[in-house]
Amino acid sequence: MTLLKIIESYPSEKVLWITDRGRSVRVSDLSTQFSLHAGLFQKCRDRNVAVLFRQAVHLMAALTFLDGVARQIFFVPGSEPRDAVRRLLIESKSEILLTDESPDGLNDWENLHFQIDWEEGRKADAGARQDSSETVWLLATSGTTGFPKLAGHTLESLTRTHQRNIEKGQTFTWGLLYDPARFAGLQVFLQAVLSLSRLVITDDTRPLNERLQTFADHRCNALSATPTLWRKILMCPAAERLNLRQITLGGEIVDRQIIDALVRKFPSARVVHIFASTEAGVGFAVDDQKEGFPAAWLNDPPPGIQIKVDPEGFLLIKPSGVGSLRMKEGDQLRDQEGFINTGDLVRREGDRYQFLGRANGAINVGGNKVFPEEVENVMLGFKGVKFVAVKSKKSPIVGYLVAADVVMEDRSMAKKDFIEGLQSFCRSRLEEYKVPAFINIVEEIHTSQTGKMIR
Amino acid sequence: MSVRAIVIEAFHQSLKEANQPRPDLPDDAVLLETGLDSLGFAVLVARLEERLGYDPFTLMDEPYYPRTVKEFVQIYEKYDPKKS
Repeated sequence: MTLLKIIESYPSEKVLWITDRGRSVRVSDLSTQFSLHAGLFQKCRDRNVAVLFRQAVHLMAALTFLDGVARQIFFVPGSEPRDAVRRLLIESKSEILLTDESPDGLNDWENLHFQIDWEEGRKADAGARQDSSETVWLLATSGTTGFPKLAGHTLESLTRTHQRNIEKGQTFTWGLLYDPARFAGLQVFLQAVLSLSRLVITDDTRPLNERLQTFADHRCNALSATPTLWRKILMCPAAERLNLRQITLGGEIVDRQIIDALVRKFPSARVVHIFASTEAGVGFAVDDQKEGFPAAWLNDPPPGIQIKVDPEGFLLIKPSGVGSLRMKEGDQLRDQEGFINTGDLVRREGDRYQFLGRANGAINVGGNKVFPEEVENVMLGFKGVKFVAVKSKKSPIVGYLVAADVVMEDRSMAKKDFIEGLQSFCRSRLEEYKVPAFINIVEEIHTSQTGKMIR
Repeated sequence: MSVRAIVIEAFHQSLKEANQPRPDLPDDAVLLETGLDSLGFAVLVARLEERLGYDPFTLMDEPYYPRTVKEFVQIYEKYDPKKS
């Protein structure tokens, strides 16, 4: 099954996507566009194609046409610096770049720009032909440390755990807040296509409140975002207009406070948090509105995956069922049974596993490991803390100390008293070495392209 | 405020946070017996660096370990860049 076949199985007048400018893209529109650009996409047959599109709708159309045609689709992470992009294009062995970034600045639907470039890519050995005709979807991880890595998947492997209930799906309209060239955004896009849910696209250069207004205008009732983004959404006036039935959280550890806040604000919504990794290409969804996930899942996992926790506390995931994921060379992340180490640490607490944080994000205070997320979680429980980002500060004596940037709810409040109160609060709830030695009051905390907080 | 006063004030703040408040800090008090552990000192030194703009322990050529409060203050006075 390719994307195009899936879409063409739907009635032609069905609206799939609604763009920023309010234009509806129907199944019939895609068929028309495909015919217009047939020559272009034929040139991509069996080639390694890189895609880099300014407009999400162009990317989605290109994916629809390339899946099953191209040998490989590489999602260029446009937000990375140019040097990194160039390196990734070569590493991905891309031969063709498809983009709507045309030199004269036109970004029209009809203006899919065609380039053959990257001599290195063409000369390089493109590797052995696959046995199956499935197109490889190659994604760059967001790489919390160091250079992004490439993870290869297929349409089938990416959607293995997705619901395909079209009857139910048609009652949903999703708002897209994520970048569709990244894993999270791609998952929202694919979920919408597979369930025949409408998808409303908004440009990420627009302010969040405006994007939410557009969602409300088109009666979006489903939204997926990181906890950091959700905290911002809850403070947007436009959120009042949203009538949500489905709330999905992902990309960061989900804490009790944000779950409760969302349940309160959107009482008719089903609140689900998703754990997934770009490397694994699959994940699981927790819908009981509690932090972490049930320990029982190690023996009785949700459909499509298997879960393991290794002796050090690392969470391991493996897609279950027929056909393993295409193993890229140098795939040291997998163990002998095919499990992928997600790089996230978990801890058993009663009948649940709680997420501790990225192993490589831990702060080493005199030999004691501190997870920023754990400290942030505690600090968010202090009245008056709007946002918090915990980071490390170098110390010649103990290596590193814990520091925190805090955005206050009420900026008129006396800072000194607030900080002292917050520190006492932390001291009463955390081990000494986890208590932030420095609390800085800041105006805002920055988020990355993927909606995650930048520490 | 003099460097000495700033150092003593920060020291008291750290002791308060470590639940070891004292009414005074005599010159001959032994650092390791004041109630601050290595973490407490790390935080104290880091905060003084933020406040004063320098960390004498990273500035010194040869490592010197102050034993008493007086020696601790003297190091800060010695490496004070504003000193004429």
